[in-house]
Amino acid sequence: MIRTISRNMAEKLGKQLQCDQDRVEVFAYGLQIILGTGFKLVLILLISLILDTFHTTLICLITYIAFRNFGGGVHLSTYSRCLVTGLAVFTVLGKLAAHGMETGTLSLLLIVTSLLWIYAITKWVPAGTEKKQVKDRRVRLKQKKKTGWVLMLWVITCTVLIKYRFIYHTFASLLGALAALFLITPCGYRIAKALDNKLDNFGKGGVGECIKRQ
Amino acid sequence: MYKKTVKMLLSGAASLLIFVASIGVSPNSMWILYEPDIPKSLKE
Repeated sequence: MIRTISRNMAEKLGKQLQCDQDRVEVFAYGLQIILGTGFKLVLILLISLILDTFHTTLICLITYIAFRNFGGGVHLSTYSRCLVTGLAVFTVLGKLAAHGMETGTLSLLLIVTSLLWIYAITKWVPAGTEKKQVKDRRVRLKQKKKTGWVLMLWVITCTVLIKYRFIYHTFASLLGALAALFLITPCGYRIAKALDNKLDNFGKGGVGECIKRQ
Repeated sequence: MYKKTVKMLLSGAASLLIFVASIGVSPNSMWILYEPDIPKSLKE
């Protein structure tokens, strides 16, 4: 749906500005990014408002996006799948972060997560997809450095948050970092692929078949 | 006057879309879980 809306809007814009087909495709691509991301973010935050987990979900989302932006990671094959999975994941994480925790446990979690991230940065960052892969060694190194900076800033922020006993906020941020980390690992890729295959089969032999038979 | 303003706004919107699209093809991953197909003209 987002693709069709973007396409139609881009064609209208191209017609008004008398642009060629290549330019229209670029407009449609830009629109897909803006509309797709905007719609998803608004929906996630709206659900968090209803569930009264707005703060934790927002912090979780910000941390996730910060790591994901530079570290990369797996993507699902369609927008609707991404939307549903994203909504489910961030609703659960936001709710989970609303639970209290000891500062000692949080500190331990922070150390473990940081170490895991250091390993992920050296091993997998930037984690590409079929559509976009970073192969240039210099660019890869640059992305690793940027992710390293994000990690450093994040560790400092979390340490300050723990010191001032912002338990829920720290836990939410930790969950966001762990979610981004998981989607960089080969295990995350395998699970996303399995989910995609399962949904493909479900579409072919599940609901689709039932409707056809009726 | 009206036509001129509309044209200016549309040009602004087009520039913004080109800017967003150019960020989209950078090594950074802008999306939460899904990424649209990159147009051929941007791949080159």
